[in-house]
Amino acid sequence: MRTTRWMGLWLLPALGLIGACSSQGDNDEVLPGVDAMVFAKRAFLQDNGDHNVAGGANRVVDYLRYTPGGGLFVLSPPTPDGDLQELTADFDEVDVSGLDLSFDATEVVFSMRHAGDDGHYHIYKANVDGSGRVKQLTFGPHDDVRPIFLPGERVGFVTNQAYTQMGRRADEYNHGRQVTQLATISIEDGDASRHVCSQNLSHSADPFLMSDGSIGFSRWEHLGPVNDVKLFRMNPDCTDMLAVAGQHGKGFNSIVQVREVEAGRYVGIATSREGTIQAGAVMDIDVRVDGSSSRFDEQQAEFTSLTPDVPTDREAQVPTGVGRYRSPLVLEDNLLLVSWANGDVSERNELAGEAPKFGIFLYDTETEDRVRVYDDPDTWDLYAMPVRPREEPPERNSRLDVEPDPSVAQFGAKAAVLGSIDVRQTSLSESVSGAQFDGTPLSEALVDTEKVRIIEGFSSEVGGVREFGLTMHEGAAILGEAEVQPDGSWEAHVVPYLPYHLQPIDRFGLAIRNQMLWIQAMPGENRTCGGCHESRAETALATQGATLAQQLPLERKNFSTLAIKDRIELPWYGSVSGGDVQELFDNKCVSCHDGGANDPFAGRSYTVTIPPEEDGGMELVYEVPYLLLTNTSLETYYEDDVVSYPASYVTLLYPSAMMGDSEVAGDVPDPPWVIPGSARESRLISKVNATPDDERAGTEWAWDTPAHPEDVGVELTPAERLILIRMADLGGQYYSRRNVEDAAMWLGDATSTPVGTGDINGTDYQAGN
Amino acid sequence: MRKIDKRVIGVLLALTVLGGAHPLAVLADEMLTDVVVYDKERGELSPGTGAPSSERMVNAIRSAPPGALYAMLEYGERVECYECMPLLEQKLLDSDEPDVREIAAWWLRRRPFGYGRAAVAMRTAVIEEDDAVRRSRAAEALGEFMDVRGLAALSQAAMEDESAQVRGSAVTALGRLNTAAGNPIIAAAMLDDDASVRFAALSQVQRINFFEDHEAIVGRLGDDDRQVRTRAAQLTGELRVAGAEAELAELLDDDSAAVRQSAAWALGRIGGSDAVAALRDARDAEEEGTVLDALDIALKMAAR
Repeated sequence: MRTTRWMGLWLLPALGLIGACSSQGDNDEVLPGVDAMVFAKRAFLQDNGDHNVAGGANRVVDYLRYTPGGGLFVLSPPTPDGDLQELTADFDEVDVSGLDLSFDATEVVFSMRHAGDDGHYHIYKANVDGSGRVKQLTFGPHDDVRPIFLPGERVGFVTNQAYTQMGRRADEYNHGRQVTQLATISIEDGDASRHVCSQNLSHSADPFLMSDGSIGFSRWEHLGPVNDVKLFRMNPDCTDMLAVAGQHGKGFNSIVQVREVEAGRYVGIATSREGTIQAGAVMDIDVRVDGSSSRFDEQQAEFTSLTPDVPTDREAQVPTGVGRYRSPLVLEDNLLLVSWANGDVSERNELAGEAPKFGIFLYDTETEDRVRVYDDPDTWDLYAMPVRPREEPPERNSRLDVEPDPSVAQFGAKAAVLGSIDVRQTSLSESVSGAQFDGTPLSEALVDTEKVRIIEGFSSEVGGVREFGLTMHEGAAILGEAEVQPDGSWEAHVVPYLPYHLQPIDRFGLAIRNQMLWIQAMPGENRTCGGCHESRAETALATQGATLAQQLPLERKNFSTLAIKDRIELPWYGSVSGGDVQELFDNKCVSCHDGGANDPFAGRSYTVTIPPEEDGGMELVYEVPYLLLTNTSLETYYEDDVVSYPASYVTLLYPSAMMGDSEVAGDVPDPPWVIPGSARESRLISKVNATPDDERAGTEWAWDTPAHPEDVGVELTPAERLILIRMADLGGQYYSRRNVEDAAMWLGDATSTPVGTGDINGTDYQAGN
Repeated sequence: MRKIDKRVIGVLLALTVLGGAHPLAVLADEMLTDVVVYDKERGELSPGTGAPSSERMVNAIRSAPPGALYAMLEYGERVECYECMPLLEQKLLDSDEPDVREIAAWWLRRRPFGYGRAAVAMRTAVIEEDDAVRRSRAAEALGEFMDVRGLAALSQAAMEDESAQVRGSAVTALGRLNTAAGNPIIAAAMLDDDASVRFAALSQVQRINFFEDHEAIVGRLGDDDRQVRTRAAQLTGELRVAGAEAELAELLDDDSAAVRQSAAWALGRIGGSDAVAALRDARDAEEEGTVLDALDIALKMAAR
């Protein structure tokens, strides 16, 4: 392990400046130069004596876990026998979810739920010396957790507040739990100055302050088969949400509870996505380019474990003495203030029925020694911070202090802008295969980009869908496809707040690359980047004046006023409005692919057998055709009215949905007909072939093979081919919002805002407001 | 055409995992990696994931603790483990662990084959099981299935079951279904004899789309249960229900600090001269600290 010397935020102030607490320097000193420490106790002992081992904590995000019996404490001096003062003593049945100290170390903000409240976590502040009374800053029917102080007398935190047009986001892959996003308030005005950030499809969590005044945070990223937690940053006005580390070269699943060491260097917890009770190895993350303090590159992030004996997965057994860590904070050279629990800290605690015991320790990264600072065996002791002043970073100017554009009359008259200066620029060393490409470097393939597809993501908050089909991909709608100009630029005005991912597409409508990361923008924010993942380490592309895309008239690039009903969605079957994919099959394909005499695949099938639910019960046997494109429901009825999918969907998507080992028997299509997320690699698409939907139609083809079904005398229009291409590129979803029985209430009235209205933040963001 | 042997990539990735360093970053300029958006064997593509075998899943269902089973089924989202299905069907009603019942339903609803049997079994159980606990769990499962075909059974349970526990679970499940056809049932449940059911009904409002029966919410501002009044006040504010200022103002004199606080916050959200006047009056009389905080901030909210 390399030796590190840190000059972090916590070393900058002169030591011992604050005299809030008494003695130091005696033989019992554990934290050198620190008079006092603030931390939270979180309970795991329940009323009946049982341990709450992982309830609410077996996912990696420190979210909601109300077990009463904790509190907020100041320990002075910070030694095992120091004086303990409870700052939440006036409240009963307390649980604390996160805390932070003001820059002058006189106040602490924290999130608390208690017996007399409304059943939610809210943000409070208290004086560190215990004087005065605790003040509550946020209220309402939502939970606000993990607060941090921000420059300019503001506080950032995590909230599950609902506000989008479709209400509260429900993270389908966290089982419908309400998605958390970041928000800020002013310390004086609390909820009266509440400012909520754009949403992601999964949780944003664990905010921390960076030395440049921006907010770092962990973000659970689910997009199709991507499912991990990465490190992000944003401005306090919620603009410029950018990946910092974890998209590339991360050998573990999740990075959480991060703090900045210095610009471009961080320390956090690396662990499995679940099963380790939010504990893991302490990881050093370095995104500096050649050690530079000003050039960072998330693509070249280096991860170095500072606790090399600690595994970063959930299954490895952890020996006694190794244990797992939580909430690390750099104290000074090689010294970390951490919470640590001995042993596994995993599902084996569940087997034993005993919760891990997190205490607060000083950890030396060079010697790998731990010194106990405080450890109450009956509580989890977390979020420890030394009580001493620190330098307040500069207050960042808001990027949203711009004049609203009344021509884009929605969301407070402010759209968001996405775009690239030159989409052909990329630092990604990837290759592209399929159609005109065969292992072609992405940088070369991107030259073929003619449009950029902007895909909105949504989840089960739409209601009434069991899932989005036989795919890991979530709900998807194409907001638009922006034209790429001769200079490689593109621009699109889009609905703010929503999560999008982008696909550069060629003349055939085939995605050249599928961005597997959500991006979002605030009202009025311009997120024009250099290219298609241009190098973060290089100087940004320079332009001579506006790009060609920026000079385009608004009507050619404005997608921000599109109501839900006007966005392109691709329901497979059973849409309550508009067409669906099955219509195409019915019109053009089933004359052959109906299992009859003319069907080339007739008689080919595989079998699915499901055992009975009890002895003597009925075994279920299903025969799945190799390829059948009718809307006939396969033998998926049970009794009289439960129907799964039509034959076309099952035969095309089921083979690609079966992960791992398969228990089916028979003739399974291999390779699968559809690769979710990649039309270019999908056997179905290459079979039908693709041609531009313009004057080049029929003269240029993506594959050299004959187009089908033209080879058997049936014509498929370019637009019909595009339906299939988009279906595959979006992920092979079965459901869309058009399948939802009540969808007409969205589809027919774009102004319908059932929960939350238009722009939750009103008009302009103003720092310090 | 520059291509690289995938085996080399595999070795490098293994080094990355084992050593924690990032050799690919060093060699990035010299090699290309195939873009991967799908892997039949692994399922999830992120580090530290990967589809388990059917055998491991079956073993986990039989013997793993709740957290381990939860993780196993998540990673096995698309593993067609047919032997797992009857075992998980049993968990829906038999397991005492809410997390296990939830993840069992989550995994089952993603199955194209065999899901119907579980769905019909739960629709039958929510009406016909003798034991209220099992009826309640069946209702939970139907909610977690998120299948609108469970609406009729859940509506019947919400309105007619003799057990408040079952009615509460059925109302919560209707919120999970999130279909407009369930909204009248949820509104009706706000008048249930049992406060826990009324609270459950109010708690669904923010989870469902198109709930417009604001009168039902405002009607609960006078409820005799503190938690119900608190939640009704918060919803009134969250939805900015116009015309509820007088009822909310009355709650500023409530015995419960949580109710007074929620009413203050709601009035701040709604704003207007009546709200401001009520807040100012209450500010002069209030003594409880956290309610004073709410009144102060509500006055600022109303002024914006």
